[in-house]
Amino acid sequence: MRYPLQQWTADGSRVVMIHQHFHVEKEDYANAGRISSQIKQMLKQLGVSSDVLRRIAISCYEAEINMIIHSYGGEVVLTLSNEGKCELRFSDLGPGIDDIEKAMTPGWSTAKASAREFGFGAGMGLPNIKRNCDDFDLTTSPEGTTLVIGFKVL
Amino acid sequence: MKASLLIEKYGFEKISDSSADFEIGSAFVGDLLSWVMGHAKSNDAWITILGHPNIIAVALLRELACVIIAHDAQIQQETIAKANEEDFLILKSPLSAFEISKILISEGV
Repeated sequence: MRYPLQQWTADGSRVVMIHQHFHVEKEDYANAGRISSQIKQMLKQLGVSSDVLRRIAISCYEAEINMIIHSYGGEVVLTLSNEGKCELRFSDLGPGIDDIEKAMTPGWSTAKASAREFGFGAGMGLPNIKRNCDDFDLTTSPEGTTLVIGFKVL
Repeated sequence: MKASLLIEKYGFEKISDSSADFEIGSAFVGDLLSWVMGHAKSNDAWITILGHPNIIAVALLRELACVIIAHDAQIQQETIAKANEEDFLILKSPLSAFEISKILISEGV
């Protein structure tokens, strides 16, 4: 079923249309991409255009994979508001990114050999995300990394 | 060209249950998932040697047409099961990615 997004506008007040949490396990390669698929499916049913959907799917997949490969696990929070903004928040439990500047450099990767065998570790994750989203905010410390990315869906 | 031509004319092996009765418009060669996510186009046939189930996740998210496994590379049972679940086509060939690309080009892809 498709819901036209244009009908969502409410009298200037912020109405959250979707707010959902997803749990990410450390090194759960077998399920990698599952959350991205669910989010893509949900947004597709809500009538998000295919171009925006493509950008969200790419970014979400890369961030989900990053958490699986590099973090101790964490969660993804999807928020879609009637202001026409889709926000994805990826929060993990550490160990943090040593050097954000290097991590943002295409081709640079700290992925282990086990991850590379599966075709991960191209060093294109964060650059792919940055290129595809409208808003990008990355904060990190040894206690955890939080990546918040936003997309205009209207 | 239709994906089914690769089976009928060139002997590619169909290893998932999905139909091959659809057109391949273009193709992409790559064995790094993020590279494929970042650069492949919707409806591309993806030529790779990766056999891990994540190729299906990437292919579906990126809306690729099918996966063609080159060099008869090993493919995991979970990958085939996932492709069947999603009605997604996987083909396999002993040829290299280059030789598969040449076939696609010669058939007008």
